[in-house]
Amino acid sequence: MYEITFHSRGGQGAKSAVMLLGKIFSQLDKNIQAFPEYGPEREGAPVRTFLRISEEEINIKSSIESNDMMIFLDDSLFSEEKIDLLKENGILIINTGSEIQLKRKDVKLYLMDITKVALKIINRNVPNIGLMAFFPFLMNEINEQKFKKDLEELLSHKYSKEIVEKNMKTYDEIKKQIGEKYGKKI
Amino acid sequence: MKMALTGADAAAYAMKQINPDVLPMYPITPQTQIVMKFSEYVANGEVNTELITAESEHSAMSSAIGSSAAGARTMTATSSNGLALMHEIVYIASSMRLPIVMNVVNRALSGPINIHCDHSDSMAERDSGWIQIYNENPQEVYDHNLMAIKLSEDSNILLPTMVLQDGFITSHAMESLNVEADSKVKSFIGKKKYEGYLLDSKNPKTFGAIDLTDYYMEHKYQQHLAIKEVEGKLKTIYKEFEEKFGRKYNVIEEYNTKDSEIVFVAMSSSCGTIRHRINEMKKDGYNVGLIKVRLFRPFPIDEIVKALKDKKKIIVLDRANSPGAIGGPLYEDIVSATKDYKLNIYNIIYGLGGRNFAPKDVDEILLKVVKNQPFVDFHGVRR
Amino acid sequence: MEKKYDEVPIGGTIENVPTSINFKTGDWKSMTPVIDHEKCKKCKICTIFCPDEALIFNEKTQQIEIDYEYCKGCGICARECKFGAIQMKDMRDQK
Repeated sequence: MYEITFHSRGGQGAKSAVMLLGKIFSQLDKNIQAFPEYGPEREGAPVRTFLRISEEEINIKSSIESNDMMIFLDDSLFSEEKIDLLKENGILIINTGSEIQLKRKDVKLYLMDITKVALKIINRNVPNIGLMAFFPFLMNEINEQKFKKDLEELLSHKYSKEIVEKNMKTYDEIKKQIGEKYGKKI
Repeated sequence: MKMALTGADAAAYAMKQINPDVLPMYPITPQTQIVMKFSEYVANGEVNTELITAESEHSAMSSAIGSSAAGARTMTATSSNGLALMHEIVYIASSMRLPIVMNVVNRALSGPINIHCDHSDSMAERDSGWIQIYNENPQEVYDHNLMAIKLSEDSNILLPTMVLQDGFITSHAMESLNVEADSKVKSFIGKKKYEGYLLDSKNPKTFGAIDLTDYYMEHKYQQHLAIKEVEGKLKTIYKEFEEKFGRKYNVIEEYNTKDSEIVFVAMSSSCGTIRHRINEMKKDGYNVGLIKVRLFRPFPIDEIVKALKDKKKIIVLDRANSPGAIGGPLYEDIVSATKDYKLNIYNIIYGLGGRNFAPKDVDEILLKVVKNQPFVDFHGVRR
Repeated sequence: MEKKYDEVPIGGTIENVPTSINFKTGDWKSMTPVIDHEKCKKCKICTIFCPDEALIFNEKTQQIEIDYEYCKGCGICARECKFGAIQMKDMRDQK
């Protein structure tokens, strides 16, 4: 079972991102479980959102306590003790413009200023779709072209053509920056 | 076909395939997602349902009664305080023998006001004469919506059904599930058969007339007999469902009970977490069992007794309290059902107002019971 | 004869309606309304107020008539008549 926790603020689209990923992985014939930690819905409030992906049936129904991947969509939410819930050699993605040094040396750390790109293209701090570019990069079983197509298709169910285009542009830009910063071609 | 849906969306999707004639509704968190999704289907013309946006749950259930009495296949959905506001009318629906199917998304009753899951709302309706089926995940929610229609509309039963799921934990968590083709669903549920409703001008009838000391008790006895038919009928439907769609169900579900001396008895989503922990413990050589009670009303007494009578220790988990009573509602039923066998039955009240129930809680509860702590106790409260 | 639980329709439903036709409440009354046709202005207010539709305006005779099989003697008609044309009378001795 592969387990991911997203830390974000209300309005950044983490819930949408997790639900989209759930749908995409489900189409890959995986069992998934995608759920946010609910409270009163308030823009800016810290929220955790969870995603489980598994070949087997998923029974457990509580929040994730041992992550394969942790994502911070807002760097102000990041603190090193929060990654106590990250497994050894786990992946950590932080949406930030600054350099972050970790005490833990096993963690695979990825830093990317997705907000900057989102602000430039969408003019709002919704870094969720930009973040998506990390998944084909990090997970070998994902076919990037199909992933991108599925993502665009799912987005167009809900949003206008203009919004979808802007989001996909953000995705492409982040994809490019990942390639430049972390080497591997995707 | 495999799909990824939340529990609420699974309910709405089933409702779309059922295509009820009338759906009166009033939104309340966390049920809102169901009626919101269903309104979308209505707006897109994917269903022919007459959607009634009522001004309260009391009115929504009243409209459901009106339309069901008129002969329309009627569904609705609610949660928590909405169900409590329906309370008066909920009894009338079952007493008038109207086969309404209602999705109930369990949420704690106020106060203090809370939007998260526990079973206090539906437990307050357990004596209402409705059938209650508790579901663990979106798959069960979807399947039981289809089966509830068949069950309720059976001419020997004619009782309304609540299809329950845990608020947020199930209703807002997306999971993979199998959904069936529209045509298959249609042929499974069939057309509404029972004739003789209000809108039959050739055979006019009066519904909901006053019923005093002369006949009230006879009518209540009819209800009592009808709900006793439910368990048998549901099993027949389960069989038919399995033949058609390949998924197997029973009124209770035993997991790893064969060689276990200790068993948990629980309902709804927590069963998943317990099963997850049971699998892990098995690897370490410990055998613990789980009995999931799916059909709570009518209570499947014989099945429960058969499953429990040889067990050393039984831990009943109640996600609702009955203050001042001997224990939680499930516990009391289990104790009464097994009264002929001297069993060690413990009761744990847990997860009220959505208090997290994690795998570690399973361990802590086991430890308490092994140490022979009080028979009825709370778990997860700071004290 | 009172019926057993399995002899009545389920859910308290009543079949073969309207059953009120067979429900003659005429023998309930202790006082009986009597119409003074001299005073009656044929305004028909009494026919509207009567809860049992026991007062009917007969188009042929152009008069208000009382169906004593259903009139239970509530006296609403006498109270509502603006012209004092209906009087409630003790007619026990005439039964």
